[in-house]
Amino acid sequence: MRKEAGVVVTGVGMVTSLGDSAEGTWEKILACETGESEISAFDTSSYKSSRAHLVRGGNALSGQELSRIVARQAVVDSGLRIDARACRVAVALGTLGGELRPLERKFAAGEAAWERPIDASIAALCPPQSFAAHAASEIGALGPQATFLSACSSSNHAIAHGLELLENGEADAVVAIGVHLFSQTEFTYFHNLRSLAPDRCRPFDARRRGLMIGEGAGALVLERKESARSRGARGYAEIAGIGFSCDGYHVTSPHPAGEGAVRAMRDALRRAGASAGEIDFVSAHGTGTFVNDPIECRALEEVFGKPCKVPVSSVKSMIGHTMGASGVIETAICCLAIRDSTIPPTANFELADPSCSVDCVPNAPRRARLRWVMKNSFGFGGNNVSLILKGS
Amino acid sequence: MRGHPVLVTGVGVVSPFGVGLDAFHGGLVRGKRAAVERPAGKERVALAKAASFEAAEFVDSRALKYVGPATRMLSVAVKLALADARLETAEEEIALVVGTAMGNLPQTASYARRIVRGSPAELSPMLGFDAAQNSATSFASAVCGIRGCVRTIACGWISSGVAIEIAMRMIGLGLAPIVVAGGVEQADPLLAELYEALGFFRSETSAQLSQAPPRRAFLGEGAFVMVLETVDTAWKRKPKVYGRIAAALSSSGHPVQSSVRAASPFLEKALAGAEKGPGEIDAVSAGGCAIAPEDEFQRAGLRGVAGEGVPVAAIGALIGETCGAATAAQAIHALASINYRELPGVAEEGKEEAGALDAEVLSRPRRGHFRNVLVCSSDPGGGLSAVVVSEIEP
Repeated sequence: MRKEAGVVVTGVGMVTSLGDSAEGTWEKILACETGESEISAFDTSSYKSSRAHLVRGGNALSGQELSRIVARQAVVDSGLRIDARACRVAVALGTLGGELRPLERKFAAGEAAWERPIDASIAALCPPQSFAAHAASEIGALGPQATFLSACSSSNHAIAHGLELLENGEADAVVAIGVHLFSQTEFTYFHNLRSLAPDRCRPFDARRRGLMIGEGAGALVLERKESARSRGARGYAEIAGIGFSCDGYHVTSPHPAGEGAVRAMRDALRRAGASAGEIDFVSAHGTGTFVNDPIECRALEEVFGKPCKVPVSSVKSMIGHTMGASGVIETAICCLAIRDSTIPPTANFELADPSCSVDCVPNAPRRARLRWVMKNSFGFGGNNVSLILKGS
Repeated sequence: MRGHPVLVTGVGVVSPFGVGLDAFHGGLVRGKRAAVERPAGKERVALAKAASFEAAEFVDSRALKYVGPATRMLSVAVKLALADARLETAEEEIALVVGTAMGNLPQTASYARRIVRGSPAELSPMLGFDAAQNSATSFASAVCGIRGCVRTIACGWISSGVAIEIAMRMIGLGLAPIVVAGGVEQADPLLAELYEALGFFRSETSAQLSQAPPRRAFLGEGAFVMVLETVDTAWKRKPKVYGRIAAALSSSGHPVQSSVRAASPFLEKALAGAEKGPGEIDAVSAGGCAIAPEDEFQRAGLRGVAGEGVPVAAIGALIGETCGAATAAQAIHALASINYRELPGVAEEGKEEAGALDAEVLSRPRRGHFRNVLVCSSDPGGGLSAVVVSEIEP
């Protein structure tokens, strides 16, 4: 068994449909508010859904701007002074890809517009790594940068990369970021897969109809425990272990028994040196789709026993599925949950589903001492990452 | 990062010269530029496509009909590499780490165009199946039965160098015993247009390294992956060992001018990571694709660290700028040069400054015993990447 180096989260930043800050989002989560709004960026009349969880009501910020904002928030929150050791501060970012909206606008403008050469201002937004470059520039970090594209677990890989750099002594601090931008392309894709909820996202509920796309970004400042302690920084939680797996099963369908998810969770527990019985709360992937929720619940039962008694909730019911950003955003929410000894609720839960028989902390937060927390992200294509946080 | 003994036990290649390492190396040492096509109607960068291949001969999946070139190339390359290393994915926890600058952006854009121009709600979801920028890696992991950690890395044109570096770190930290690592990129008119818009392919920026008449850069494509593992995992299967990755290092995202200044110290650091001195480097694989910022970095760096008369190969001149896949392509060509004792595209010793590339010389291969090859590549945005590939001593 290999124990991860002691790495703690010393700062968090967040912009979601619920607010422009981590504390603002958390406050509304505790109030079980949901952040969906009507889409105005394109005509939704031919779709069966017209809502999503959009930042500031929609299309207000670019990916580069979001990255800058959350990176700055997290660094300020951590109290980290970067100037003197800029070369030892790395940026790792997870996202589904670069900006699509400028290309969509160009296509929508008609054939003549499309035939005109793409101008540099659009081209500069397309490379996915431009978000990390902007975040690094904002906070003055000159260390390594890396961008991860791994579907819904993209930013979990960014966190893992941060741990690897810190454990290997290649950085003193890593700002792990997740960014997700709303686009018509993605909305259409999930709509046509019949994965979008028409009105609300209801994870684990018998009447769940699908996910709702969430726009947003999050950031975490990661430091070795001794570095954080030496500068007197508060640590929200230690990242005790991360487990990975790939279903390697089918190009579109997840493994029906959640075999890959089980391996990721067990791998994370092993690396954290924790047992399943010690986990106080699981922040589920919990997309609210008809197929995925029962698979995740079966996997949880396989790891935690049947019936699964550990509280399992999904904040996607309130902030939407922020896709490539969800790993970092939801890990930041777990940090706040540990700090405040409060399990965030699953909103919109009304009717229990026997195939999802977990304690989903319905509709109201719950006070609980949280020493060990598991955060699951199970990406499209079977890319699974499970992360374990340890409170002090 | 400092040298873990990481072996290369399998190689998978799809390149403009064909499928497989022999086709790739054979094409390089023939010294002729890959066939190129120019997108119709516009004065755009030429494209060197992967030579015609039938992915279905290698990959058994009905979904192949829904996927584009990047996904097909990568799936075939990963399949070949696993077979070459005699690996059964069901029995091993194998990771896959792939670098790409733009991934499946052309497929994403094509899907987006259909959406905003047509009846979006009626489009088949299968048309969007290949449209995520990590679709190639995701598809390859599924059809090859990869069960370990799967990552797609996007760090511009040094993406596959970063992927190799991450794979080395994962092995060194005990996070994955075996990693398939490399890169994939497609030569697509949209990408050519984007890069032109960013100023990467302006004709006046061509051939800054060369003392010959300017060459025009062109976009290449391919999938280039290696199976990386330690002796501990390899010895049971006794696969062919192509060599070892003695060091892999990258540095991302700094402005071009500072990266040119940083080139020599950066390459020196890579050599130190491999525990090699400049005198121990027998050959250099530079990108040499005739794009000014890249060539300038490499010239500056190689002046600083390559000894007198060290031959320099520049496969970018033969297969084109393979962008996010370039470092992996160069690393595999370095392995081939070590194993076949033949280096393509060599600058003549003594006649030109170290690192200078010449179009005429590129057609002449050099035979020799190459023990250590320094691979260097860069991104026009300022990223630097270096890999030291070494022979395995008996």
